[in-house]
Amino acid sequence: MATLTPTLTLNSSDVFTDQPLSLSVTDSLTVQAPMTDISRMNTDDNLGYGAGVIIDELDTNEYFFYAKHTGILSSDGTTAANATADYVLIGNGDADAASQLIKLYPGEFCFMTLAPAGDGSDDGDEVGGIKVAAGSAAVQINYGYWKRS
Amino acid sequence: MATLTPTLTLASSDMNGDVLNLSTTDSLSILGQVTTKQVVTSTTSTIFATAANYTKSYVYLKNLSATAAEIIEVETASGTGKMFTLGAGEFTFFPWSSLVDLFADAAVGTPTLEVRIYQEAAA
Repeated sequence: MATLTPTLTLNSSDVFTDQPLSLSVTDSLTVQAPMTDISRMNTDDNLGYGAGVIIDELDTNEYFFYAKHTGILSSDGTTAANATADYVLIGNGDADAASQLIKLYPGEFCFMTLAPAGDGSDDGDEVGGIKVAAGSAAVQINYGYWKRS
Repeated sequence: MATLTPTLTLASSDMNGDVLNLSTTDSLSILGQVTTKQVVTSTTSTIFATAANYTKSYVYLKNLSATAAEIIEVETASGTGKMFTLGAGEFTFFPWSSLVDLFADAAVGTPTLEVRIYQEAAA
């Protein structure tokens, strides 16, 4: 087992004219394998469960998950992605439209606790996992996941 | 125009035989509505953010409970489409597509969910 310490700050001096925003939150999470270090992939890469699937839809583990849109096209690893067309949608392992609640534009990131698959079966209900889908051209993302212990 | 600056660090000294020390930040334009509220959840799935009322936004959620069993599930439909599981004291931050609604469903009890939504565009 290991300890993962996430810390998030949200700051703004002008979101309200009469009150600055300065929020800081941290946590101490016990994690274990399966897990990754920070990794990189193209949104159309196949890591073993299908193109764009990072965690299989049948996985009943619970994970802490991080992803960031690098802003780079996967075609050559150097060209900047289009700021509006080349977004990344993140949903469950089936990429059901009803699950795609995260939309990353270049430079944006997310951190969340991924719910496990309901019963480990692909019955179209409570599927788990994570799949990324490009809005247009395939792009590179950084990601990491750690199983909750 | 307002600017929201989120910064996330992920640190660990005892995993993968290496030190994890990630720090990432962004500068986000916030032109639209800002919602800051605390929602008392229950074991009945209840909507707390309606997609039709927002365009793309940045969402911060935290389970304010200190009771381990009071887990909050975040769903994309009432009682189904479970996506996140927030244990006591846990938080999440994500750019919300505003394509699907957000519901909260407590495993037990009535834990309070802190909700902050920052809409990118003016409308």
